[in-house]
Parts: sequence; structure tokens; C-alpha cells
Amino acid sequence: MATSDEQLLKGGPAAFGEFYARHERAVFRFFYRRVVDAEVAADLSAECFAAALLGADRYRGDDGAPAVAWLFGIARNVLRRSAEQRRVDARARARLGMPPLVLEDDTLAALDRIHAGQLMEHALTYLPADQAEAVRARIVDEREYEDIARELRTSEAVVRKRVSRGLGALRRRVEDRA
Amino acid sequence: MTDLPQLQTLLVDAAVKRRRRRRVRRAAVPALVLAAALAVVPWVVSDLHAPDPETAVITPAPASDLEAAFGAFRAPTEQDPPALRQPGARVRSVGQPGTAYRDAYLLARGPQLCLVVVPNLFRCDAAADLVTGRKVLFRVVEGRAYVAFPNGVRSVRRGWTGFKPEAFPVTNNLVVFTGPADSGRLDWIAPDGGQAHLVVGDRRDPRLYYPRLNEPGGAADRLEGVPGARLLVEEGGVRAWLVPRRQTICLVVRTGSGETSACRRGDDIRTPLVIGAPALPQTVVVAAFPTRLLPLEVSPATARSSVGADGLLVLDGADLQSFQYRDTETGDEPRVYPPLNIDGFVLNGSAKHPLDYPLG
Repeated sequence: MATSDEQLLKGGPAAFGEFYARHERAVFRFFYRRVVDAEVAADLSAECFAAALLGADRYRGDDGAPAVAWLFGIARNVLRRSAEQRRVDARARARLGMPPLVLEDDTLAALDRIHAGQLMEHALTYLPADQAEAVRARIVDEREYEDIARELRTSEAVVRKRVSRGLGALRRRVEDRA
Repeated sequence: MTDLPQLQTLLVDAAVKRRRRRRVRRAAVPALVLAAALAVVPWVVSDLHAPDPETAVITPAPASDLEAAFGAFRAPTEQDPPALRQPGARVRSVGQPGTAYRDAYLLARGPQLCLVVVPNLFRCDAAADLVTGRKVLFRVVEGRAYVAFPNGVRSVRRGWTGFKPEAFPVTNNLVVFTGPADSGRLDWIAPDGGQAHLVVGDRRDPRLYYPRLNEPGGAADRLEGVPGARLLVEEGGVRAWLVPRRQTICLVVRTGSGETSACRRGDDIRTPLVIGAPALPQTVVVAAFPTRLLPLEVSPATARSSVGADGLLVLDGADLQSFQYRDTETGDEPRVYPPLNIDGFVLNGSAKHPLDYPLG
């Protein structure tokens, strides 16, 4: 049986590394959705997990609250403190003597691709299925109209119309909320 | 493999350094204490054999047999109650001498293990299942619940109708607590580290799944004509209550524009109960979460919202695109997309009022 989060938190450095790996994407996504900047989201994630490491000794799962709830509570606090200070809070990393993250452009681009792609997928859920499929194929996957039409067994004109309508609907949604 | 392996390395390094520092600190203090103690009271030396607190006992692996799981059993003697004196039986006392509780024993006979509350109240089940700690022996006697757990289960959390949720330590394989014959739920961590629970009584009783309903009521909880209501969330002039009815849970939302409510079966706990209530300047959205579900985040983050353990309130409901929660039993993190451009709606329930249902 897989080791529980609670056991990982109390299991020493390697176990904490596994705890991090298990929740890295969820925490990064939590921050990325709010700041839409991979570098800032990575810094916020680093502070969040550093604070979790500092607090792991005090974590008690006896009351039935899962460790992931505790972790996201820390994430919310890190976000709130950072917003108040208007810079990414780094007190937990300072206490641990952790050096700052140095992220290569390639890494940042990969993170953007992963998480911006998820945001796009999220946006596509607001479209009817045929439009979402056409927009995904044309805009996200950058495929040719002819190729898409062949796969969908329809004409290029229909695909173009679906993409146009889909993008129009997304644009109106963004404008309505601006 | 992670997206940010550099951060993983930094965290593991920091954890190693932190552990080293703590070990040095802990070793230094006992050395000083030892020097002083040896000079004054030599007999404290025996305490030095106490286990090192640094060696954390996380949770032992599942026991392979009965004695490994529960401790030593013995043959019954003439001094034992007659119910225990059975041919071939082995017994283990799990009573708590000095308490007002009745004596209790574990009795092994063949493939079965029984919890015996003297003089002769039995609850038996397959020993092979009980050693895992995922299934337990439970018996209510005279308003007290007796529950037997294997070694490795340290505490149990009681959620019982009419009682505030509370954790109890497991002592000598046994927990005894006040538990009248209503509905109740126990949660604990099994020896293998997994979550385990036991539900007794009416499984549809909403008080099993919404602990807020078992907290003492105060002035803020009062909802005229509807007993048992508990305030779930309150912000910006909007208030929402949870209301228990017979085998039914209801959510009532009051805004400056009026009242909206929704209800559903008490044991329908796979999704949050959601209301979009008309309000000015815009719709508000309220969601109630049973204990199994954990609200995570609201999208977009700019929508004014309040996220608690049991509820979610979004004041900018027209801006709300979605919210996400975690199902702690499956690990899934579903997202709820409220309908667009509709002033009032109910998701995962019926647009009913608590008074449409009998009192629980």
C-alpha cells in the first residue's frame, strides 16, 4: 500500500522529498492560477513547501484532517502574506537557509506550457463540444484546417466556422468579465 | 520525476540539515542533564534507557497474527468470568482498571476474535479481518461504546449525533466513550497508514457527515422556525445555514434579496450541495461540503470568496467560473462549473425547504 501523506511528513528528508513530488503540481497550479507567472508561482511553491517542512514536526493527523488540507492552508497563508508585502514571502526559506531558486528559461517555458495548457483546457470547457474540439486542434495543437476536417469528417469551411465561433465566444466571455 | 527537481533537491537538503541540527541540540541537552543527575541522584540512570524521541514510531506494519496485532493472550483461569472459560479459548484483558467502565476482554476462539464486555456481552468477527485494524469490534453497553483496536491505532475520532467531534486515545487496545444508541461515526488511521472508519446507526443521518451540526448552537445559529440549524458561512450581508432533517440535509441561504434553500439525502456525500442565490449587485454562490470533501480554491481568484472547512461562499457569484474540491477518499480533485447567466440555481440537490421534511 502507498505510504500516506501523514507518514511522509514524519518520515525524514527523503520522505519529505516524496511528499513534495506528490503535491508539487497541485500546489504550483494553485499559485499559477492566481499569478499566471511560472517564476513567481515557483517561488511561492518553494516558500510553501519550506513552511511545510518547518511545520511538519507539529503536524498532527489525529483529528482526521488530511495533510493535503494542511498543505493548502499553508499555501493560502503564503499567498496572503505575499500579497500584503507585495513581494514573494521568503521567511521560511530564510529560516532553513535555502538558496533562491535559479530557473532556466527552458524550465520556465516548460512550466508555462504545462499550466497555461491547463488554463486553456479550462477555458474550452465553456464551449460546446464541437467548437472546443476545433479550437483545441487548431489553436492548441496548431494543426492545419485540412487535417482537422479530415479527422472530423467535415469540410474545412465548417471547421473554420467552429474555430471562429469558439474564439468569439471566449473573447466575449473575457470582455464581459473585464 | 518532478517539474521542479531543483526545488525538490533544495528541500531535501534543507530537511537533512535541519535534522542534523536538531540531533546536535538534543544530544547536547541530555548530556548536561546526565552530568547533573549522576552527581545528585544516581538512580535516574535507569531512565536513560527510555526510547530516543528522535526515533519516531510512525505506524507498525500490519500484524501477521493475532498476538502480533493485539499483544499476548493467555489461557482463561478460574478467576475469569464464566463467559471466558471456554475450551481452547485464549483471552486478553483490555479493561481499564480504576475506571467506571465494565471489564472488557478479547477472546480468541478458532478463527474468531470476540470483544467480551462482562458479564457475557459478546461481539465477534473474523480475526483475520480484525488484525488489519480496518475492521473493529464495537459494542454499546448501557450508553457506553466499547471499541477494540489492534496495536498501532493510536487514537480514534468520534463524530456522534449530539456530540462535538472529539478524539480519544486508544489505551490497551480499547476505547470506551459515551455513545448512546444513535448514529455515529468513528475515524482512525489503521496500522498500515490508511484511513478507516465505522458508521453505526442510521447511515442517512446528516449529522454523521457534517460535524458542524454536532457543535453547540449559539445565537448566531438561530434560524426562526427551523431547529438544529447551524451557521455555515457569513460574509457581506449573506448568511448560510446547514439544517438537519430526518435523513436529509438542507442548506438555507439568506441575502438582502430573500431566502433560497435546497435539500438532499443525508448520506449523499460525493458532491457538495450548491446554491446560487439571487442577490444585488450579483448572484452569490454557497456550497456545503460533507467531511469527505475538502474545498480547495475558487477561480478566478479575484472573485470575493470565503473558503472554510465545511463551506464556501462566493460573493461575486456572476464572476465565478468554477471551484475545486478534493475527495479525500478517492484523491480526485473535481471542479464545479456553475451555470452561467442564471440568477438562482441548485446543484446536487432539490430546491426544497427544510420544513418540507420531517424533523430528524
